[in-house]
Amino acid sequence: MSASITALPVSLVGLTQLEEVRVALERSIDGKSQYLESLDQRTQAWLHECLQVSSGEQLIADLEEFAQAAPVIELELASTPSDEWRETLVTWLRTHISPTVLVRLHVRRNLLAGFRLRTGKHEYDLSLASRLRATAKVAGVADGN
Amino acid sequence: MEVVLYAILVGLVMCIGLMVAVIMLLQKLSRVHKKAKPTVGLSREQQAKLREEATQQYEAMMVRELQRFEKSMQKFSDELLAKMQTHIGNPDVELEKTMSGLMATTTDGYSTALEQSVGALKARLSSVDALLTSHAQGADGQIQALVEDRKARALARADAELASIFSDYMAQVATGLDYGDQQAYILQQLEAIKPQLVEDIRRVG
Repeated sequence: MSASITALPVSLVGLTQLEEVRVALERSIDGKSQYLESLDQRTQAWLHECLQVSSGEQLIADLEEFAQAAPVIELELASTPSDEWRETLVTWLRTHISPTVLVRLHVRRNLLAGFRLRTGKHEYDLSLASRLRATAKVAGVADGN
Repeated sequence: MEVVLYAILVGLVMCIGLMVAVIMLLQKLSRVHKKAKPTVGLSREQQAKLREEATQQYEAMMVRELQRFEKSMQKFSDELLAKMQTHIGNPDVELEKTMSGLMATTTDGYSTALEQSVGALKARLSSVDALLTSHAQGADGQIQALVEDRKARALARADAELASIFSDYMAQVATGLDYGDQQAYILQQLEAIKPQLVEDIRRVG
């Protein structure tokens, strides 16, 4: 893990946003600073903090290294989360699981409610759909009985 | 049975013939009496003589007619008996032989056909048993595969339709659902699996 990246802002959720930051940083070095301005303000603030301790080239290299090594959690929700709800989830995961975890969010409406989470080692299906299937299986509906 | 009927018929014919003969004799006797009418007014001796002649003629005629009738009936009886022997006596034997032969042939043929049918039926049943056995051996796997396929299809269909079904259900029944409650539920479940998540991320990292 890079020394310049010890914590991620909640606005940087996953690899996609991390890649956007890296591209914006590369172009800003080339004199196109308008790309940095297109980023979220909290992301810009975090970049400024990082650039206080590291050069732009070093930060880019650190971001590439970080993107390859950071733990990733895939989280599936039944509906598109609001910005507030997404930040609540990301904050909880980085507070309780890992401060550098990247979150890949998906919307799966057939989950109905709850969530399904994959860590790369295991899958945790705590959706309403899985509960209904389990109930149906116990009742013999899914088996066609 | 036919012999009895023929005997009754012979008796009936003989009775009729006897009655016809008696009627014919009475008619002739009547003619004799008519011939005697012109003798009215004859003397007692002449009348006794005529009556004596008439009586003799009547008796002679009776004898002749009875003899003729007897011959005729004898002839008829002989012919009838001959016909009975021809048409009833002998044919019975032939018929019995014919019927016996026919019965034997029919019985033998029936037995042979029955045996052939039973043999064919047994062979057919054996082939059906073999077919059922071979089908039964492959049926378990096929049925199992079919059941699994149907289960998979049912689950896939349930997955595809569950969202809309649940949405409709929620729209109709749970209109007051607070999504804040769902967020609380998700955070609660994340908290419940937190130790496993921490361990998973540590191993991946």
